[in-house]
Amino acid sequence: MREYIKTGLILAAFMVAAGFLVSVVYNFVNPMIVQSEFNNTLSAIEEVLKDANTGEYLVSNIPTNEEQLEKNIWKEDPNGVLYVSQKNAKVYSPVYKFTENNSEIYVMTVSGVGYGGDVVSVISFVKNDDGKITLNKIEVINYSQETPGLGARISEESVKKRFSLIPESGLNVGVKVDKDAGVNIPTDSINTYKEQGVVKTSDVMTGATITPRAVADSINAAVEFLKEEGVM
Amino acid sequence: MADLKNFTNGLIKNNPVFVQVLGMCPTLATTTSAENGLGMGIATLSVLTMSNIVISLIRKIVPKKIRIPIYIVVIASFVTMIDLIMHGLTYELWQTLGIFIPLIVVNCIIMGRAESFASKNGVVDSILDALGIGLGFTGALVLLGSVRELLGNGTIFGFPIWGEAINLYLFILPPGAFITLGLLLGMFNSIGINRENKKKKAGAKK
Repeated sequence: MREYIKTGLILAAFMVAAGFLVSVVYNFVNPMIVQSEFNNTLSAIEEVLKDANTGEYLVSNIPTNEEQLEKNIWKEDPNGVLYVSQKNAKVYSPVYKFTENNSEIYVMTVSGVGYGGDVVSVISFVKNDDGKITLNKIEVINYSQETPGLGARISEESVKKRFSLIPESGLNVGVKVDKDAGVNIPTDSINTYKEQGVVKTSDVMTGATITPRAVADSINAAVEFLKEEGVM
Repeated sequence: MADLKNFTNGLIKNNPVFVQVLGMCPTLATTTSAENGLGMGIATLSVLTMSNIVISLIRKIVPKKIRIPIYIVVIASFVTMIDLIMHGLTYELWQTLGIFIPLIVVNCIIMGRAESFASKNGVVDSILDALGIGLGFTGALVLLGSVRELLGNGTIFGFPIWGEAINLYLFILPPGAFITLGLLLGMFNSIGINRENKKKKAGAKK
């Protein structure tokens, strides 16, 4: 009996010591984690505020810190989530709105369910004075649960480009990857198919369908959210 | 007494992947490119070194009956700490290696070294053993990753070797991992057998 108690106590002592050490490390690095997550989001917001065609900034005052960013908040929700689509893609709070020369730019953080977890992106929509809305640019900011070499290639420039500049007609019918749409898109008509909401990813992300599908789902959730809010 | 053999053993003679055929899950899953193999190898190397040090230090106070749960706690704690530290300090690297890091907990090489070496030997020897096995594992993953990346993508560490003409995507996908590993295992075995035969012949002549 004494033997059991002794072994049990030793085991418990090790568990407590390990738990204590991990919590010390956690408390020490947590502010850094929060900071680097925020920097990551901020630089993604800056990136999507560039015109996908010309590479020039769409707005003149780019936010450089938390305070300036907060001034541009358009919609907020204390729960952190503003919209959940049927495919469990989410639009996160807050959504930002920038105005410049009659055009409105909406920037939001969205996620779709990927291979190992949520694939999180920051996207920008531009609404011009003619009322037409276009998906301008997308930055994938968290894909840490996707397979390296396959799904994790979602963050490569060549892939993100395929999801940029989708016109309103394509957004309205819902964005799909070419494999799900069952079409074989020749390289010279990639932009034509964007008008129908079909994005070619099969050549730049061979072997990975789930990750780009997650991004397409998250774009659709963003569009549904904008429709709900009466923006489009 | 520290013995340098503990270090060199793990590199080739006792290589965890090609000789002991251990740690197959990360070996097959993470070697889609040379860079990923290197990242996984280094992460494993650091966890292995730290866990070997701690387990060798506490080997005399750990009762035999509960040694396995204690080793698991030690290993899992180190993995969690490394995950947190990398998340905070090296965000980019953490993004790319994300899915690998929690996988280290279930890497049987680390558990195997804790049980068969660190729990029976002193700290210096355990460090040498961890470095040898860890580098042997890293080398094997880089080799496997390079072959798969070359055949599947035409590059090694991202540098183009040949164009895209003869690339077989199969090698980046899971079946490619099994095929490449099988071929490399066969190659290493045949080198080993040839060497032994030569030794025997040399011995017979004498």
